Amino acid sequence: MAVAATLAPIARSKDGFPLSNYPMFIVTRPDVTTFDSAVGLDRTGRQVRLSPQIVAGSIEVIQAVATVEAAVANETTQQLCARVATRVAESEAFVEVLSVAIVTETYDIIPALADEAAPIDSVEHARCDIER
Amino acid sequence: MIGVITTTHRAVDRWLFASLPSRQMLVLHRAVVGSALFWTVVRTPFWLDQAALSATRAAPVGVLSWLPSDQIMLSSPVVLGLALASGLGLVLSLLRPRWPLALTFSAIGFLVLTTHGNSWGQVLHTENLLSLHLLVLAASPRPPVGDHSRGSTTDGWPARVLALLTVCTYLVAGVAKVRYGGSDWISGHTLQNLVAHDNLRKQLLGDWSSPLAPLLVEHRWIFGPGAVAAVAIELAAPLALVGRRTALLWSATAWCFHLAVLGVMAVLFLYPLVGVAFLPLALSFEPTHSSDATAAA
Repeated sequence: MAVAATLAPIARSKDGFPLSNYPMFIVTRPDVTTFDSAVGLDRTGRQVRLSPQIVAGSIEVIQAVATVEAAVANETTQQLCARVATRVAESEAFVEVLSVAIVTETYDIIPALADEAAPIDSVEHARCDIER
Repeated sequence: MIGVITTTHRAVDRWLFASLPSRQMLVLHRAVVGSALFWTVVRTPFWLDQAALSATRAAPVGVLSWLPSDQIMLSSPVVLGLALASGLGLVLSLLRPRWPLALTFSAIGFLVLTTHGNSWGQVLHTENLLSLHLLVLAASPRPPVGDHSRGSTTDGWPARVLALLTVCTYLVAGVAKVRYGGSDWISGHTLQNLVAHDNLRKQLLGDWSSPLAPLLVEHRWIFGPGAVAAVAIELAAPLALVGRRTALLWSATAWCFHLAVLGVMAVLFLYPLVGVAFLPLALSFEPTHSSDATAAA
């Protein structure tokens, strides 16, 4: 019965746990993709990448991604910005960060990873200052 | 045709229910339970983070999927209490493998904790097999220990069911790639973009990413063979049930696959990488020394 249950996901296209069809490596990612993220900004305006724990209060990057994407979709980016700013202020890391921005950036993903190419486009949804 | 089916059925039956040395089963018991204990300890902080998420983010899966989203939430004290209780049960099961309730309770607790952790919009797939193995062990006869285990044999079907679960999970993954990935997967394009996307996303969110990926990602010729190899390894999983040599060979190949995934995608599948996921395959073909001795006599 256990073996049959493990094989059953072959017949369905929906993921599950612990019975799964393991679809994580077959999702098609386009060459040009947008990413929602929360970034820190130092005194020169340079972006400082914040950790998933700071962005979403979770060590898992996937949850951090989901948190920012949900805020952008629901237009609650100002509230998320404030929460992230609070975590930055309470953290001993990122002391150089003076403000937080919620952004959507569009990348040609292969040059971006291989050559650190700049984003093709960037949209800022919210910005808030760190209060220390 | 019927004769072939009957012969095959008898062979499978003989293999599945043949006894194993008690010490081998004890080793397997401790390896799986120990893995679950370690995982419970290192993942509890993450599970507590999940418990703090808003109910609007809930997407119940598995045993929690029948509940409404706003009712699946476990509070942080409940998650911590469940993790501590499950962990204690796993420790007791390591020290006293023959205590039945400790492992049963812990397996259910582990399933609830891991299911809850995966019910927030993203299933992580790194603990599926461990959850399944633990549940089967909890439903199995407890292995003899101490003086009772030396030279004795015990039911071998739990190890073989665990081996079958390992094989099935890889087979399902391979079928999914062929079924849904198609020519884009085989060409390497899907894999190449997946590696780029996953690592870039990790960098943008300040997480650890693969140092190899930026060096490899522009060379599609690498990803075609890599994608074909991944599918081949997964679809070849049933060959591990043919005999001990093929089991060890396939396990080593699958282990290398996970090492490559770690190196190129910075995705850690700990249970296979420490080898415990493949241990049932290695043990399922052990000779039963006591029965051999009896037969020889």
